[in-house]
Amino acid sequence: MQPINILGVGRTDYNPKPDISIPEMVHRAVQAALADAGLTMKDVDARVTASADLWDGLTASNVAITEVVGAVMQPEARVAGDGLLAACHGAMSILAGAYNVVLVVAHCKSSMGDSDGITNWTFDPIFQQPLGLNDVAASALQASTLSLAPPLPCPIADGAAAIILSHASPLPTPHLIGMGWALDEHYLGDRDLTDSPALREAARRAYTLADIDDPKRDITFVELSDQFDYQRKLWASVLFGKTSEVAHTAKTSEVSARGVPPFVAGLDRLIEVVLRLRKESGTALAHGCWGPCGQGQAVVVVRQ
Amino acid sequence: MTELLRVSHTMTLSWRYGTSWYFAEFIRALRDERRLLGLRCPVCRRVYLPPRVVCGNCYAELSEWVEVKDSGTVRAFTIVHIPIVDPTSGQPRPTPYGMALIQLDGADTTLNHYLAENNPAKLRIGMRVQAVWREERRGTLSDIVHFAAMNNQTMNDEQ
Amino acid sequence: MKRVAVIGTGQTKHTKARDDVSQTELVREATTRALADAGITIHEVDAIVLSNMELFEGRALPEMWVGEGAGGYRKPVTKIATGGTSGTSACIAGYHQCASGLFDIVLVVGWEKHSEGATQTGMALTDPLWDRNVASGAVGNFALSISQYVAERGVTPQQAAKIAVKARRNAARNPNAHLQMDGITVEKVLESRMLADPVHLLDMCPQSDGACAVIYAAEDRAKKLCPRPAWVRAAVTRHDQPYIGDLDRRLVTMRTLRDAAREAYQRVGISEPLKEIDVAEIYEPVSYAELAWYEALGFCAEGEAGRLIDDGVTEMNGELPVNPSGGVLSTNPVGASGVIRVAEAAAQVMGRAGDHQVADVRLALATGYGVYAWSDVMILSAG
Ligand SMILES: [Zn+2]
Repeated sequence: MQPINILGVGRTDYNPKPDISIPEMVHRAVQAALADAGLTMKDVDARVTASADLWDGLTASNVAITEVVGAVMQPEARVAGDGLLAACHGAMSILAGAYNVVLVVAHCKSSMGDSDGITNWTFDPIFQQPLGLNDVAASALQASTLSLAPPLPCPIADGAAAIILSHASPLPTPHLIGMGWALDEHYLGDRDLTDSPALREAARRAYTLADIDDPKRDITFVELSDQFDYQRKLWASVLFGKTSEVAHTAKTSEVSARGVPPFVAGLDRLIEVVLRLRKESGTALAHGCWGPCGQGQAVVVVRQ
Repeated sequence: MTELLRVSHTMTLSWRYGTSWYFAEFIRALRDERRLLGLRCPVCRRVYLPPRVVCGNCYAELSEWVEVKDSGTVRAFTIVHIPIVDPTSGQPRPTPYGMALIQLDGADTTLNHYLAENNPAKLRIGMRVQAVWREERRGTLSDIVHFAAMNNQTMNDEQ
Repeated sequence: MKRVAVIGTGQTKHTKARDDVSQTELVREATTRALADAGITIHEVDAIVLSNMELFEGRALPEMWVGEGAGGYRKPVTKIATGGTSGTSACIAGYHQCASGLFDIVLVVGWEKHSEGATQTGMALTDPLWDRNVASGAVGNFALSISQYVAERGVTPQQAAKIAVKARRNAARNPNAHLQMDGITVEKVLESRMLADPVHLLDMCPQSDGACAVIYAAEDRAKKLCPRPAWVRAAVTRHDQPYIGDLDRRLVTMRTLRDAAREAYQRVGISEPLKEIDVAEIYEPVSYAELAWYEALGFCAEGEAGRLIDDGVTEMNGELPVNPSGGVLSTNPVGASGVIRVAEAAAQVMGRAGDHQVADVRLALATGYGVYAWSDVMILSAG
């Protein structure tokens, strides 16, 4: 694929912000990304936003942020999912030739509601929801299949992240050279929770586009979405193989995505990768996941 | 054939919405001083209610507070005849009731609110209306009960 | 941009309540029909874009559960949700993914199963600090904007009722349409219950259970797979400010639709839309809105929309048939409604619209409408 330049990145901190509105929080991240790219909103052709209605307590939750993402009388697509998926879609629309400069924004305030209550509503209503499953309970099941202790609940976190993508750049910026995303099966009983075929598929697609034959050799470092502590090890083993787990998890960053809000985490991983690639050259992998036990998986490969 | 079943779930979720400084200031003035405040865009000069972070037309940050009157002009109206859930009570609001888009004096946007009148023959676009306030203000837009025609002159057009 | 075409569409029968299927099965029904229409199997689908407004059913991330119905496992699945425009925005997203060159075949599926949730409660989850102080609902908010439109343009309740009648008469020829109203007349619309002045019950769209799928193919595959593909010529999105009070006479100006149509026409080289476009499938949630959209889409001069319906210009046998399917006024599963517009426009170009086929369609328009005033415009053509 034609490389996509990452012109700028911006994010808020992820401390709980009970008094801050979603538009103001998103505005801070967008302003930071524009400043980082040295652009104004007039330079942006289109936006892809990522948010989740039930977490925001708002129907069509991107309505609240229309103005702060500059979408008035402008194109916007809104992905109801993780911000890394929104970044992939933004890159697709640039590859399509639809837009030159795309702003990608993700937000969530997990302090607003009851995550355990909300995530119960991600399970199918007929067989699994009545069991009282939620993300924490499902992750405890997943941890037990790995013979690990039950995971700690996710910390409450609020924040927004933004990146600006373009097909061309006047400066040498880190560029997105591969991406892939996939959905796993839904019913926990249908899945081998010690594995993630969706992540393997997402990575395969990303490696193919990036011409990576041997990820263990070619990937310099990795930023993983580890909403629960055991997940870092699991995703690393799926990506790089269980036999050499230790060697290859060493490539995973010490910067955890724990404490980054859901739906922001994947985009935050991409920002982390970009910031590091501005200091050292290499080929890095950013990972995002969403849904019960990481049912949805996305991988982006960035090179500098 | 086997009888079809429906599985029922009741959703009881609650959220705590953060207001930021602009809405907090709007509510403070409304509750403590019975004043309505708008924010003026530094570029297009449009005065916005509700207050917000940026003017979407200009992508300009807002910070200049402007006092807006609790009187205004009806720009659109309807009489609602079907039970619509009143989000403040969770119960359907008794019908029929009048509703309008009211451009408050000093504002450039309109406010969606109730009218005291529910006879369409006594309403028209351009008529002047005045807010009727609740005795004890609680710090919500519902502290305005509804808007009533000014000086009992329903046909009193804006000047 | 790379050339991309619609090569197949599929819909469920839309009804008030599909108790016999789950959301997953509903989506599978539309998907299976679209695959059959395109003459491909699910294994040939490279990526999937879904559309649904999850709070109407009270779900979170419904694609986790429902994605299976679209054949989504181990495949790239993206879910788009933007209110009423969800379906058209998903179609535009699917078009972009196919035009990226990374995918040859992209499946778009929209669905809504209103009977499974509390739609009014979902709709009421608006800005908690502002909109939730007033019981206005979608009907009340439309009625407000309609009062401005009527005052400025002088359209009559009879003219609006004619739109409502046209939709339901067209729906009678569409076996998938939800409302089937034999013997609907202008009088019956005007005699139906008043919801909010001047909107009668029969001026409004219903709430439906249903799903609709569209399959895109990149140029080479489209030519091989489809004798008469519906090529995407333009796809434009415009969003607007968040509060109804921000919008200057929204139905009168409808600046998003006006601007999106202007850009789409420019890309295709359309200067006289009424003459050049052969059929339109537009998202009209209420009869009066269709009249307002005629003006915004440039089908007539300002203030001439009433005359357009009086003269029968947009009837099935008129110069520009609008909503041969019966439109949103006859069928409205929200997450699917925009996909239905694109599917119906494509089926008209492909010559596969059955009893509601318009003769010799070369250029078709589809629009989406959502939130207070967001718009999508797509233009499809033969060749
Ligand atoms: Zn301005």
